[in-house]
Amino acid sequence: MILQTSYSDQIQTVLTLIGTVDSEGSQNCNSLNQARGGYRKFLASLGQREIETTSCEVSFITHEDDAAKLRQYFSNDSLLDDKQQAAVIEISQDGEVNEKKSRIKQALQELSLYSPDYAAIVRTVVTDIFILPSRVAKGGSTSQAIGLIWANPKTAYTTADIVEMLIHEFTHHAMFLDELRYKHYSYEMVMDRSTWARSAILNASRPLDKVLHSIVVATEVLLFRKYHLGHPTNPRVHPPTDLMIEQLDESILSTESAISSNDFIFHERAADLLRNARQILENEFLPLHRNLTRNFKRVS
Amino acid sequence: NLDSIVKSTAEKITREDIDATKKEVETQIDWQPLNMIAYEDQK
Repeated sequence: MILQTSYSDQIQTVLTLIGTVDSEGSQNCNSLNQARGGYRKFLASLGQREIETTSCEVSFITHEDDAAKLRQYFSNDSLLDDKQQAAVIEISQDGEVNEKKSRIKQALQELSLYSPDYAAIVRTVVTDIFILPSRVAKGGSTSQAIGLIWANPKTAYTTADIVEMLIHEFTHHAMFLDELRYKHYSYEMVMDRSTWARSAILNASRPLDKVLHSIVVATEVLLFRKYHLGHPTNPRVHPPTDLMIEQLDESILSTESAISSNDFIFHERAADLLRNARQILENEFLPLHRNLTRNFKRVS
Repeated sequence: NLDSIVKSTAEKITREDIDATKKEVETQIDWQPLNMIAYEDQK
């Protein structure tokens, strides 16, 4: 969410949330490291899970029993869990767990090489990563455990693919924090299927909260490709850039249509984020799409 | 310089910002698994 808003915006959200548990600490904060400590105290105040408040580094949970305890946060009973995603994480021994951890650490290091500042914010917002296998999904996040990421990358993924995974999950958490600061949705309307729209990444009809998440995630991944990673020829985690831009375009249009007939479903901040994504699509991605498809035609 | 952004941003945060956010957090908490299915697995 950094590239589509700003570092300042992201830091302001974190500091304001810290202020809810320590107003003096928030207003007198003078370094990112100090903010990390305050942020962990804020997360602890939510009472969602145990947080290591004395550390400022991302922690990896690879022991099967410890990881299985964290899996519970990914189960749910909500109508909003439209993809029946609760049971996707398996509680079984993952023979590749150490290699997966090593690849994720390598990707975090790679992210630091592309953009030390971006990586520093990721390492602030994400406090813990646990690894368990799944035959369905490659990672996940939940508003029930802000700061905690479930990761299950294929060991054969390129480092760039795993960097994109980290950006994807980080952006969900940035959205959770943003939503805590500014209300985003009227959830009683989100559950009404007549308000659903097409998502940007799964390209399926989904509830509007998940659709906005997908729009913001797709926008961030595309911006990171544009500014840092480059455009991959055979990506495995996210679609190729030209297809992702097309799906993002459809998703934004579909969401605009859905909220035009339901004025109150998006609160002001959610509507602002959607408008911002629309502006980035038109100013940056559609011209890029024209260039990519023109070059492709020339090569073929 | 992230540290300087933190410092300058912190100085601008007002008591009103914090109070409004605290109220919002309390309302929402006292407001969803999002699992990532890879592109190659969707095809």
